[in-house]
Amino acid sequence: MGEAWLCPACGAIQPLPDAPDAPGAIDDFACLGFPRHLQLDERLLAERFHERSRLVHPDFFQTKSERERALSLEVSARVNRAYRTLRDPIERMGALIRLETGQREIAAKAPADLVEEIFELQELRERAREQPGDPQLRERLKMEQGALRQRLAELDKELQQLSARWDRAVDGGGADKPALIAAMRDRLSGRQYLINTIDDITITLEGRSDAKDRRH
Amino acid sequence: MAYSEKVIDHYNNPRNVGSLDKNDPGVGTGIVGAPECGDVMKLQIRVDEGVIVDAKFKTFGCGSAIASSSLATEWLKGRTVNEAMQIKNTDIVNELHLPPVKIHCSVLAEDAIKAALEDYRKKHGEQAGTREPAAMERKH
Repeated sequence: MGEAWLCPACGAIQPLPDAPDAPGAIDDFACLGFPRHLQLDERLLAERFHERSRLVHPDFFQTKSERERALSLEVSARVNRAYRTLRDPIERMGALIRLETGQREIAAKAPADLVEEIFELQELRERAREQPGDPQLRERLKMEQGALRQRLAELDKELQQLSARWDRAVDGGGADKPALIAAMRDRLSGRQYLINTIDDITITLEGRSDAKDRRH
Repeated sequence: MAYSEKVIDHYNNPRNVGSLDKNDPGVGTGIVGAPECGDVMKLQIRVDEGVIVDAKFKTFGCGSAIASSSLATEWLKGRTVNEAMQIKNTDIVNELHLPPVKIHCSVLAEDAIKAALEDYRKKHGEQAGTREPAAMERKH
């Protein structure tokens, strides 16, 4: 794949079909020569990245034509972006979901029971904010936060299992691919909600006031 | 990012903050949330003879989310259940001059309205949008 960026006859760098819906478009996975797998070996990932970065690095094109210089910048930026995305398992999953669904938004609707629970936690935070000296409220908040962290850990384990199942589906044909993607979207939405609420509770426990719009 | 004057007004003087008894058969409750930003919104309506006579909300979120739900409660009062179904997030966007990055706040408010209406209709054994509740109620 990496070789395809250089013309086999003259070694000149070739443009990358980068528009996401262009025929033969290069996605983050293909960009670094991986199938759309979710369990990627970190060392191999770094190796491929360095290999490909060297191949198209602008330093090697300084004496080449203006077109090749521009292309090496463009392709290098693309390779960097792919590596940044694939390096983080959650970002990687997000990229996969975007590719498979063709939608930019990853978040699904949050499940109703989770939303209700979070609403109650926010009310608890409000009470704790209004009575900062109340030790019982603080204790409850800490307990709830611990429970959320526990759930986050369980969710991450579930995501790992889903990743393994996805990779098997890719290798053996796409039988239950859409169902797996839907499950991942669902878990990722819940995950983001848990993380935001854990952070919110930390803010209250530290006696800070909410920074409005920090997440927007 | 600058908020419009209307958003700031609703944020500083939110209308109809509070809650209604969610077990009351005349009350519909909608709790919705946006995972990306962590906002949660509760919106409740009290229906009498098919007309929304009271609406309350409580929102944990940014100024636009608070303003959107505050405005929604103002608009809900006095409308019939079916009229309330017609409220669109774009109406809220236009009224509050929400910028593109805040449109999801208005979507959340519309979802909350729909969820509250749905909850009320469930309590009365109907599917949303299938019957005219004003007429239904009056027969009792």
